[in-house]
Amino acid sequence: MRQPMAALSDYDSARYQRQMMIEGWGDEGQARLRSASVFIAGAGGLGSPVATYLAVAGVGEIHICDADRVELSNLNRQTLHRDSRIGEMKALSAERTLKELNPTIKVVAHCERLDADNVGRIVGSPDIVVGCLDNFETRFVLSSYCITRRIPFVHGAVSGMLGQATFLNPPETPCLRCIVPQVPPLGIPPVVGAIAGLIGTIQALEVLKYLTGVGTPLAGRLLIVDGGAMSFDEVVVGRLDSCPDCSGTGTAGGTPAGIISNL
Amino acid sequence: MHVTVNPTTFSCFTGPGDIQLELPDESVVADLRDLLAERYPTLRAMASVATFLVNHRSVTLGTPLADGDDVLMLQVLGGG
Repeated sequence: MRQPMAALSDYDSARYQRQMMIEGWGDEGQARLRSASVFIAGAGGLGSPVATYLAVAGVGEIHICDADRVELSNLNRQTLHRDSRIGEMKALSAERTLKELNPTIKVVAHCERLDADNVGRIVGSPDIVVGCLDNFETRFVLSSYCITRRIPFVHGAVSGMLGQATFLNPPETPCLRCIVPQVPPLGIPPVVGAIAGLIGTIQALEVLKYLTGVGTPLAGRLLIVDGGAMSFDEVVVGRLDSCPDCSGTGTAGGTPAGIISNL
Repeated sequence: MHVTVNPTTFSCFTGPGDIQLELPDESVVADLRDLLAERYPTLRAMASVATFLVNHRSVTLGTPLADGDDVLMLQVLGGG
């Protein structure tokens, strides 16, 4: 984390008491969260639960990036926004909501569209990046940047009542392109808000686990949620030796051993 | 050769559980995809956009298959 960890205030100790009771979390884990910086790419269906739960958990610095404006059709799933904010920049609307949820944290809004030329300037050097985007072109730009800077990247995606999430941190895990070599056709997928809420909440939990050191990351495993069948499958995903994005980062750790569980 | 296919979220077209397939020697992933589309006609449109992983690593449609391979059909989701 970026700053030395000072003792928690009485306010923090009270505010975060319930999560600090989790084994291994404690004062130290909470101080790590307060000193951490997280970059959230997208303030939409996934970005809403991610940002919400990171803010209320006490992540000290949240950067949220989105170049779009709030539209009426967003409000079935994008809980950071309100009817009264239609037409506002999503990143600014998100900033307002997050500061209401937790006035003690720093929130920085970025009203820009990420691309290969600006990704370094906008993303910088956070402790972890969360991908909450609606297209693979930008996901690959972000993933590639994270590989170069050795920043962990939490991937999430939804469509209809389906969702997927994984924790990416080559060379210990595959990168996004190892799993999805080709950009799928771009379209406007159907989405029910509850699946975005579910997957985004899983992404948020992965961030909190990484920052506090509690739990086991969803690394090298792709979680596949089918909300229609209400099934949770977990499949092992391995690195591609020939991956154009991450093959230069070192030797893959471990060999995928099989489809390890149907939860 | 014998391969096992986990249809993951495509199981709404194929039914629950893994699919056991017999394929001619020297088959590639595209042959497997075509056989699945033949066996499950409602899967045909979706199979054309599936990503396949063989033994947990992503592959192309031209990748050769081997006896005993575990194949995963992955529906790539783009929404966020």
